[in-house]
Amino acid sequence: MHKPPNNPSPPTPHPTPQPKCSEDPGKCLIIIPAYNESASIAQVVNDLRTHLPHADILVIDDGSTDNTHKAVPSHTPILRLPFNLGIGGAMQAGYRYASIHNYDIALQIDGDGQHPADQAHKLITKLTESNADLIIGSRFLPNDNDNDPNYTPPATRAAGIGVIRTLVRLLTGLHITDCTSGFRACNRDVIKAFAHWYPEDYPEPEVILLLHRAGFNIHETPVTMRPRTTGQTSIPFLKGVFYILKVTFALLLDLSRSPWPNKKANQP
Amino acid sequence: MIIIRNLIVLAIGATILFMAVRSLRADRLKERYAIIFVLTGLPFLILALWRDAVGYLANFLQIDYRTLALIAVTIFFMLMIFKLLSIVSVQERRITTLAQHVSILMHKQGLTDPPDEDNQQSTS
Repeated sequence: MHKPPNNPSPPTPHPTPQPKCSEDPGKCLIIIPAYNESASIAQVVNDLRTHLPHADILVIDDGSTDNTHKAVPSHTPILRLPFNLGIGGAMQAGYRYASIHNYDIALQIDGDGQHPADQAHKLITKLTESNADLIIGSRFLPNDNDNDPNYTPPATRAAGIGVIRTLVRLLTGLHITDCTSGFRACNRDVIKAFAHWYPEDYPEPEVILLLHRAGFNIHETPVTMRPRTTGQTSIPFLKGVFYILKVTFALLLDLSRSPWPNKKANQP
Repeated sequence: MIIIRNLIVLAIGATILFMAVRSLRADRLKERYAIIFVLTGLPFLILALWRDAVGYLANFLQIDYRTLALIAVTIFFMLMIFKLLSIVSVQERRITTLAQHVSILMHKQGLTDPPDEDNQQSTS
């Protein structure tokens, strides 16, 4: 889904386990949507077990045809969808599971290995330490220790991301640098909202607009990402133009609908 | 020339009706939705056999210009297609929800293989 960063961080040979969700924020579920990711899914799951040992892991096998489910390490729960639903349907299955099992935090992370497990704790820590309901891991925000962005995309991709970023900013007033990032963490309120309704196609930008309109707080935190090495991208290059048009249309349409109850209205 | 034109129109109408019947027989189209194909194919057959059908329709509806009668018919079909697409969209959302619940229930029951695995079809 994501293009390789210019300076990908090498995998840590002996990673140090991170503390559980910073001072025990509650039950934490890591949702990994996977479509034909048999080559990378085992490494992703094992890395997460090392870096977030207390979090539960759930793999969503989105109708894979390459026996992805057989590559998942043992004792890892798998939801096997009967057929391919796409990223939106797969993610919503994970959020339904999280809602049914009363998880306090859900972290979504790609099954292709682009989202390093050692970055996951940043999202959870930020979620628990801020008043945010959704935290987005951004490739474009500079790290705390330098001012350089983690990732500079190719010109055509940058243009597409820029269009969506501008549109989201115009429609919400939020300056979200990485609207298309699928590296996200959310709290129980958002889990319930997503379990109730979730966009089907290219859901990431839509979610920002709809959550904002429903009164949820959305923040970002800088993360580094690795280049995709296996599997299939969910947005091939030739579909890029369609992606921009579809997302633009969907965002404008979203101004007229409210799939989730307003969070502020529900508060005492 | 007129015969050739009539044959072309006849072929178009017959093709549309044939597609509808074939889809019905293969269980890929429900009878209630096949009506739009019938309503589209039949006018072609009528026009092939009765050249002044559009003029008669315009006179019957008291429309001065025949083209306006055609536009009215076109709008009717567009509304039908819109209705059918909205039905498809609702059904697709329901199928998605159903598939999600099936996978969660299968996980709960400890079942590993989804049903109908040999006939997996993409909905996306």
